[in-house]
Amino acid sequence: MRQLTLIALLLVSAASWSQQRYTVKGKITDSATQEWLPGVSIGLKEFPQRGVFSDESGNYSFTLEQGEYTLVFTLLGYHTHEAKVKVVKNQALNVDLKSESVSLNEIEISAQKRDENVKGVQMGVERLEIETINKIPVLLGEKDILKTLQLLPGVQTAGEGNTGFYVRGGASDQNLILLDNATVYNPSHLFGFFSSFNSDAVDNMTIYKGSMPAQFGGRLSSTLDVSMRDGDMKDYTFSGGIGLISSKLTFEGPIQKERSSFIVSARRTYADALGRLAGIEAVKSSTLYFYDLNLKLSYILSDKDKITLSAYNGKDKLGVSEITSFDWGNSIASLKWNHRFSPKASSTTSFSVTDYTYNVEVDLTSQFTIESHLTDYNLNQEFSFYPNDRHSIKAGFSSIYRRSVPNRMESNDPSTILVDPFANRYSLENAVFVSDNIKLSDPLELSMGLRFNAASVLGGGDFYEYDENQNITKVISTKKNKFFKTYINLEPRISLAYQLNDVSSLKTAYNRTVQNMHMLKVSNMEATPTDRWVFNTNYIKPEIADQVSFGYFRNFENNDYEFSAEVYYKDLKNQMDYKDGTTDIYQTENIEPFLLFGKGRAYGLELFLKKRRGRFNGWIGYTLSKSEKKIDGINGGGWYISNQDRTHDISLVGIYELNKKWTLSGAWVYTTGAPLTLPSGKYVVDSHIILYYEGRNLYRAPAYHRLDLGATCLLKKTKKYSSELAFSVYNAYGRQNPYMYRFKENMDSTVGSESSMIYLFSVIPSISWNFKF
Amino acid sequence: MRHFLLYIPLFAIIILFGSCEKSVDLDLRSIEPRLVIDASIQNDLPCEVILTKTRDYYDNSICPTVSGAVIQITDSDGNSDVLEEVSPGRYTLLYSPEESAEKPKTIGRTNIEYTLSVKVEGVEYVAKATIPPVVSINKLFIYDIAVGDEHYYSPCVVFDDPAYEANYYYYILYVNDMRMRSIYIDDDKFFNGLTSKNRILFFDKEDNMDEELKIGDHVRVEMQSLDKSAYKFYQTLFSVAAGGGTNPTGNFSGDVLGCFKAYGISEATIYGISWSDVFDERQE
Repeated sequence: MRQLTLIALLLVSAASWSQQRYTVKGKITDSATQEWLPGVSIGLKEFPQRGVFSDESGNYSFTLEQGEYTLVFTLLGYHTHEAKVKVVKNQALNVDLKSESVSLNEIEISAQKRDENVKGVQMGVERLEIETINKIPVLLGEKDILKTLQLLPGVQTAGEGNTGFYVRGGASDQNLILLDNATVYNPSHLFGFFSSFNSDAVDNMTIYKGSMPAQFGGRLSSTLDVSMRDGDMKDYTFSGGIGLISSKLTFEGPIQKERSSFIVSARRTYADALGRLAGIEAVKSSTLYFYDLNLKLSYILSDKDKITLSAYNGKDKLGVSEITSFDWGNSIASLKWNHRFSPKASSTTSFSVTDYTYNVEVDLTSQFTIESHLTDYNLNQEFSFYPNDRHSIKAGFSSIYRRSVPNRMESNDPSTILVDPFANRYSLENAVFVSDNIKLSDPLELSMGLRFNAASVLGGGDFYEYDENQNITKVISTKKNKFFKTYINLEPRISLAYQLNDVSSLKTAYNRTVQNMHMLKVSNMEATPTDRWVFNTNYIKPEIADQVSFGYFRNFENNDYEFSAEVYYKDLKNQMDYKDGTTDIYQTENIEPFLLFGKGRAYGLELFLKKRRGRFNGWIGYTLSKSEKKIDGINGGGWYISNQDRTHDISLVGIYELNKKWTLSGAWVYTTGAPLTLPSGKYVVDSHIILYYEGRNLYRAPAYHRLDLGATCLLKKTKKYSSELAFSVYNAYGRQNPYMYRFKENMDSTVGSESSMIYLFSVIPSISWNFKF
Repeated sequence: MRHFLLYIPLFAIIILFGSCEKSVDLDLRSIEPRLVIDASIQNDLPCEVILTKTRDYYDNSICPTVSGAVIQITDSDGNSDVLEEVSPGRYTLLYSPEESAEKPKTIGRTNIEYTLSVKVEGVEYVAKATIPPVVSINKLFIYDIAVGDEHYYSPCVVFDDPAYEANYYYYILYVNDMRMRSIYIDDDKFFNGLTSKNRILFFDKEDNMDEELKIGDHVRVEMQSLDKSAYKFYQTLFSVAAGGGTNPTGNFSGDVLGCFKAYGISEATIYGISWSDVFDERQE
């Protein structure tokens, strides 16, 4: 590893430097909202090979030899701007870009250059603009960024209608989900049917599934970076929508014109209220709803400083009569400060707090409550340097202090229920990173990064040592916040891109990722709110993944079409699974004796063809993949397919602008059925029919496929006011995709073993109305 | 309480979307039949062992039995008996208490450990189990769970848990003399040494030809105090590993399915539920 760092340093110092050069620098902003625009490509008309990008604060700096140039400012969704400059001295040039979008919800912001996929050194990265997300039909008309994400190659759904996803054969807890730099532990509502992200408050999202930039770490498979939208800095705007199961409202505007802004967005569902109206018996005395609140304040302090404060609060509540109530949700606050030292150096500092909590109250012969918290305090510092147009260096650190209050049960009547609360757990995760994007020559670009990760298990409560049969041999008592055990890992991240010509490139990457937080499922369903997150212990070791990938990228028709083909191989260490007969994970404090450890591997091919612009746009994605595990004590210790294994995965997405009024959309997905563990036989003990299993994941569900259709009708569009109706049909041809299987004895006949399949959705139409003024 | 929380998500999904169920025949593999030992001993009765084999899941013919096994039971006082095969696959010691014949030496006694040896086709399987003390049911009543206008009845038992040790319970519910299939088990982790007032045996109408429990029904609860290994067998039927798809953990040595269960029983009966048996509040 030291060699790598050395090479990086040598390359930096060896960078050429000419004396006849001057710097053009400035800030790029949105002409309407005065928001800073990151990711704007600044190119030279005269030398199309050269170019720089604006940073997160919209600043750019271009070092040029003396002469006359035409600078071309390009950003998707904006009119291209050209400026002639005579470079004879260092000079400033600020630019306002005009948004080119015309339709409703048009804030189409993307930090992506038109040919970024070919020209950039990153691979295995997908960005989705909120505009695309909004046009894709979804369940009950709830626009959903996580479900749209699952339509991309290499990203697979964890189940019917579920926001949980698998990236390149990794489990759903191996995705780091960030909302303005803060971790979101449970990104779903209603057991995974809806995501926590209100699409009206979201700006864009980026998923890194291949080469992970060094500033990200913490999960094995992917990082999903979601940014909340800044409020409009010029005008006050109300927007909102009324749908079948939820309504939402967003209010935004300037606090001080062109210097500061706010945005508040709220969403609430009313499924239970509708159910009661419809007279559905089961909901008469039940409560079932969720809400989200998003808030973002942005202040431009000076042309060098910007501060944003983001806050999120979301909650699900479920109650059955007076018998039980159950609520859960995330609360997040994040403060971010961008500072520019010079055109060549800037800094981003953020501090965030995230808390995932759930509460249960039960009043059934005896009363008890259960409370659980998982709280992160996260300080992040990132410096960016652009010493010249060949280097782009990032360095910084991240520090997370984490407190977990698992499953704290309290009894209102100690004479009937004994309570022995689980010990609180504390941990500290520190990381230091450095990376450099180096343009080695015109066709060759290299990105090298290194992340140094120190994960400390802090004291508080007891830890255990075990013999080979996992019987406790030693109890280690620890004091709160004393360092108990630290795991140190180095995560190298390297990618290399070679431009074959102006429209095609080859890329390769190697990547190591480390995961110190592990999720233990307490039930057989995805996204149960009571699933347990545990940090490393002396016994549970960090999970480690090494991934190599290789890709070919090609654009056609003036970058209107993008094509990519990527192959990857992933090797995973310290993968966990439960022993046979593991029960009661929820009520057992010390779960270590129930765990088995082994390794995993995943490999695959991803093909992607996307049409980015025009009246018709959309994409075709295809993934061929395999994901396996090998754990002593499971299936005889051999390789077996993991729950995430899907051989084929196809998604087809199309959006067609029929005319000024109507936009049509459709999405079709086809996936090989999920691996299943089904009984192969049965036997009788104590008059009970008991199912006999030969091993895990030896069966598969039938293939999953579904077509969703949508149509948006623009009712009215004036300068101040617009409104639209959105129609959608989920599962248009009524495919009965199995949700689970049941095995039971038929009571009517003397002996009869039967099996049945439960499916959730047939055809589900919906309608919603959106407005803005 | 144990699994209650885990059912909440399913309940919510059903509220939200409703769900549909349809009968399907799955292409399940055919398996090589494996030996199953279903053995038990309780107070004042001799050990009983039933030897059978596994069948394919959809095979609804009569369960195949295994004859010709040599089965010996030995207690911790050194007494020992060889069981007789009284009908195909069923092994026990014949004696009838009415005729005041001499009791077998190895008849079930509390706090005695029994070692069972089963020899089938040259392979010996051994298990040990101890009969725990009987815990008697103080009271059986019907608990009324009101959800809106609907009332759901479930039997509820009250008993005093002994403080001295870990106790394990298994309840069998009979409604109108028909045995319900639901498996109710408990350990005393949350009520060691206390009076358990809140053991609701959540009634599942699927066990009872889709009929809810109602006034007039005849209810009997058999509460078994279980040996720990037998408790583990029932407990591991509710696995979270592999989506529930793992075999329960038995106590026999060797590669065999089944369990040797030692237990003591107590019973309580309501001869026809009347309104006075039904409570909807906490019992004091």
